[in-house]
Amino acid sequence: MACLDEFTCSVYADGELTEAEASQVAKHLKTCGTCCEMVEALRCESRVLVECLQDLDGCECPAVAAPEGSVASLAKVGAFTIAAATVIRAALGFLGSLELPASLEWLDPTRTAGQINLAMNAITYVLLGGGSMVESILNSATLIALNLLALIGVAMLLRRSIAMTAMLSVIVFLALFSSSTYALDIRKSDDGVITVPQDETIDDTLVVFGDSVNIDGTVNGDLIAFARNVSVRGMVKGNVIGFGQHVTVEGTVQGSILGFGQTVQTRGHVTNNVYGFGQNVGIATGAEVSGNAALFGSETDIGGSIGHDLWAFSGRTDVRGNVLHNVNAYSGRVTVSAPARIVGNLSARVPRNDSVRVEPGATVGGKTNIQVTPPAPNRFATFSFYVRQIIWLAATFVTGLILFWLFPALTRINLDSARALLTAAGIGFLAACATPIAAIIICVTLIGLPIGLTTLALWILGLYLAKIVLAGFLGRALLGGQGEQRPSPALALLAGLVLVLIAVNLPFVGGIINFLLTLLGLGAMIVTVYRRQSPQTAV
Amino acid sequence: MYASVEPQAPQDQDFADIYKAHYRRVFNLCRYLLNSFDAAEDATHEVFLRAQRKLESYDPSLPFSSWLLGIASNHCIDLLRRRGTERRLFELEGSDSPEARSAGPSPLGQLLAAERGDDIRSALTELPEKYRVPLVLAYFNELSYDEIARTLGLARNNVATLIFRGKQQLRQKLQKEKRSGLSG
Repeated sequence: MACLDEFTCSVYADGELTEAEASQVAKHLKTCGTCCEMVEALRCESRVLVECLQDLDGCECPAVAAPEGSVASLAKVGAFTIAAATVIRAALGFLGSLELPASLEWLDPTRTAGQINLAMNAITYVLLGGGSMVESILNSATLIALNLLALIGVAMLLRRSIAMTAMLSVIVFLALFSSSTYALDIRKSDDGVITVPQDETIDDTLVVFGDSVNIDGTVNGDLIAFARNVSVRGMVKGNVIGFGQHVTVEGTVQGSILGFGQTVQTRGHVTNNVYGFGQNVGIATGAEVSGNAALFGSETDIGGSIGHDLWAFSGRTDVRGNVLHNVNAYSGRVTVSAPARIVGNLSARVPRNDSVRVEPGATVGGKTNIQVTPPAPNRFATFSFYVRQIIWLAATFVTGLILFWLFPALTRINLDSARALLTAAGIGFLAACATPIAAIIICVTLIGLPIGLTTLALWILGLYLAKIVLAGFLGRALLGGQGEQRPSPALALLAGLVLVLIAVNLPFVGGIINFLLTLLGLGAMIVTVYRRQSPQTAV
Repeated sequence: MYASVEPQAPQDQDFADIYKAHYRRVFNLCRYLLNSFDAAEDATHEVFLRAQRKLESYDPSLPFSSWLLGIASNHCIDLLRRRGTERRLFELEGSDSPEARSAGPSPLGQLLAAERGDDIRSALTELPEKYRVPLVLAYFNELSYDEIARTLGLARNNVATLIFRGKQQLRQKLQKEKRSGLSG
């Protein structure tokens, strides 16, 4: 008998030849070493295939649990959330109980002053890494954004609908043709100090990064500055957008000022409006703002002149200058001292009647309207609280039904194991914290502005949907049942939402539970979406 | 083929326990057959739902997992048929000539044994469905050629050829990956 072909050997090795054929082959194998080796190799191959395919440990697999959740998994999520919330609450309580001298209050991260200081320090720390670091971040972010865009584009073109492709095309179009990419003069400095000298005129919009930015010359476009100290002593014909620990404008700004900083001071002349956000926000004596001023800060001082209205949202508002229209203050305390002159009305919303003081020598031309904000009643005793909760419940229920209809995979999230819980919490935390930072960095690259804004919008949407997704799981776990006895998705969602509603409104730990449930939901959602997008991985 | 030694599931076993005991196996079968994590999750849930409905018809003299995997493979093949690709899927191209049968590389028992399971599983996902499905039924479900032929509605000879060619392609892919891994 001639040697066997490989096909016959293969079928023989699998034990699938007929009895007559098999006996013939066996007879041949006794005399032919070559064929014998071939059959042995094929048997070995089949064994390996069986072992590999049946090796369940080597496969990525969703957590094994009862299909529709169980009370046990609900208990696990509950125990995890309540334990974490209690620990965090206790830690915050301990930090809050630390008595610091008033002069060191800015060190306390649980107080507003401390939080602003912390945020400013963090931001300036990043900026102070020097221009090179910022440039490197920007370059990397631009590169990453463009690469991501390309990858998403390819992925979408390959597997997504026309609608998604169209949306992507719009984003690409916006990114490429964003008007903000034109006429920019971007500067940085190795020693961190950037100065535009008195005799220099910049025709473009100037974007500067550094430790200290001094504008003594003229900028014909806008000025966008990121630095520890931003000082404008010259002239800016456009707007000033300043982001730094101390933002001071002493020169002339023909546009508006938008300042974010620990202190935001306006000492010069501003043709349009001033928007200031910071710990100490002020319009100094001698300053002149022709438009409105909207100031948000823990302390607000107005010594200069405001051509239109003043809106102050602060812990303490002091008015010593002139306001040619109305003053609207939402403050803990409002003081109008000489030689202040308010031509219009003074409206103040304050906690007590005696929180507003108009000192002798100060004048208010219009009416003085003081609204006392009564101390907040127990929220559970108010009717509006329950109306709000019912509206929230209805809105999230409808949103959840639509969401689960669009993405049925989200109805199968499972947080039954400690590993799944920790994974979801970790990914949720990362996504909740890192996404807005990444989005802002992408926005700063200007070219990526639409992508950054889209990312921010998705982030907000994700935070809103997170608790709904989690509620779906909690509802299934709460109602239990499997197979045909499982509850309808709508009923499970409703039950879960009610559970979440109660949990987030619990006194003492409700806020932290809200935070933790959002993280868990966000993490679980991301894991599900990731798996959905990578069907081929690690089969 | 290799005989499976399975604990038999009594009819009255709590279904939650059945689910926990067999979920991974069923899921992986669905994933091999459908080549999609998400579709496999859906299919697995459907399989257990069907199994629960049909529990009365289970014959305790047979291994429970074989019965369950049978439901799973039938369901997945139904899904593939519904995709409209099934007819193309299992049709043989070319003749069953001996040349075609021995066109691939030699058996790679040693090579396969040395490979990481991940590489083999990954290579399997890259195979065309017409080869992947019979291979999975033969080496994951451990069905005989006759059983596979019945499941897929094919002639036994065709099944033998599909499995043979499937293994050849698998070897080619693994060899190619190994070569690119060495050169890289």
